[in-house]
Amino acid sequence: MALNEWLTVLLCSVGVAFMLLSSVGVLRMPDLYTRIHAAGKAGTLGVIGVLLGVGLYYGDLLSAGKMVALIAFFLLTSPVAGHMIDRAAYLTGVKATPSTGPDDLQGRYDAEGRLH
Amino acid sequence: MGIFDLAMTTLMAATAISLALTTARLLLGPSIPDRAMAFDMIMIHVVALISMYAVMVNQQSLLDSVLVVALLGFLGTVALARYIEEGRN
Repeated sequence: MALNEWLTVLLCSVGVAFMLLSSVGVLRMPDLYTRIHAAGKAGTLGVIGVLLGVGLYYGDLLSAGKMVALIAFFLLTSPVAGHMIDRAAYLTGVKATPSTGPDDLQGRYDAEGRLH
Repeated sequence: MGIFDLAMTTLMAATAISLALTTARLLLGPSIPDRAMAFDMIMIHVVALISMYAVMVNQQSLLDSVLVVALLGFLGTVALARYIEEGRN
């Protein structure tokens, strides 16, 4: 195998391992808020590993640039998506697991969903 | 079939197992936000699968579809979250 193939397999293995851990977390965690931690952090890290490996494979500037743009896109949008799902879940009354500590947001949202 | 193709096939199989676990959460998910989050994870898995397949068959044009799937996944998640949030009362 050439050097770029070794690098691709190595980086993709790291990424796939993180994605596997992330989906085990999504399946096994006790409530929605902890599941979003697994999906938003480990899942993003996993797909970034895979995309880095793919971007290094071809060795030209165009595909590497596309992969870097995708990595920047995931780093920007994954926290936004996770926060929006969390907010929608909190406003619709999804309960956290009972051992969760004090709820600082309790009573701070009005009827329109604005924080005050 | 060389070592590289074997390694990439193994990695794609592991990603498929991970996709199956996430689909289980999509089917089980007690609340609708659970399903929205599982949809987001499934789109991430599709991005990883398509990009590894593009390396396996050596087709650079498949990388453009990866961009489209990533964008659609984010827009779909945001639309689902807004829909859940606005429809609560």
